Amino acid sequence: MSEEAVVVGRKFRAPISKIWAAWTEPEQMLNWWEPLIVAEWNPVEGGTYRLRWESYEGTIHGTFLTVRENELIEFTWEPDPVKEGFAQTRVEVHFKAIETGTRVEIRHLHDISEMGRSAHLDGWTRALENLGTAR
Amino acid sequence: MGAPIDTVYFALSHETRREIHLELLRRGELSVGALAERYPVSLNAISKHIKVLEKAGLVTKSKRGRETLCRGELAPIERVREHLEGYRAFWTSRLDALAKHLEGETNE
Repeated sequence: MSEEAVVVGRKFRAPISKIWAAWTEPEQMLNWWEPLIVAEWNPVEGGTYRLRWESYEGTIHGTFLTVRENELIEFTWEPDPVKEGFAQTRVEVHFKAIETGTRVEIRHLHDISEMGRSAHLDGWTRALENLGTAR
Repeated sequence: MGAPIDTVYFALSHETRREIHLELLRRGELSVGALAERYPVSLNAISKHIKVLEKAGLVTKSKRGRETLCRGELAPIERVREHLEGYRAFWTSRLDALAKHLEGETNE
């Protein structure tokens, strides 16, 4: 059973070291994460981050769980205040060198706390869709 | 607007409740008693599960004579999907921004 809820990927024509730097150097994050404000970004295992919006009072913050150079950044995703939706989820950013550059894949996972089984939902939802139209 | 989406996730976090919900969608309507016969758990336990599903808007109840009928609802599932799509849009926009950022770098 897959725990993945949302997966988004893209290929970039840039070497992996450059992509890695864009994700891990705070001054670069500041630049390309607009309009979000990167108030804190300390991508080391156990380090924390904090993002906020200019026009919105809430923040997203979390802790880096895994940081493996040129390979993986994994962090918790904790909205504050807790809006409608998950109190806490987890994000994985995968980096892979390919012939033409680098592939980045982001997985937003819903496998924390009592919502544990809900990741199952994506596939299940599709099954229901067919059922719904058959009714 | 319906029930908070957390209640939908919570309701669907239990396997028996997922099965009850699917069974109701397949069958249309079933009484609580008829549902209880389908699962190896007590009537009381089934009632509790139905209450959780009802709170999430996944089940609606109606009276027919002395019987209470349960009906499965799909609308909350649509909202869950929309919620997930929100994350997809967010991360797609981040990758767009990264692509732009990298372009700018190479032009410098």
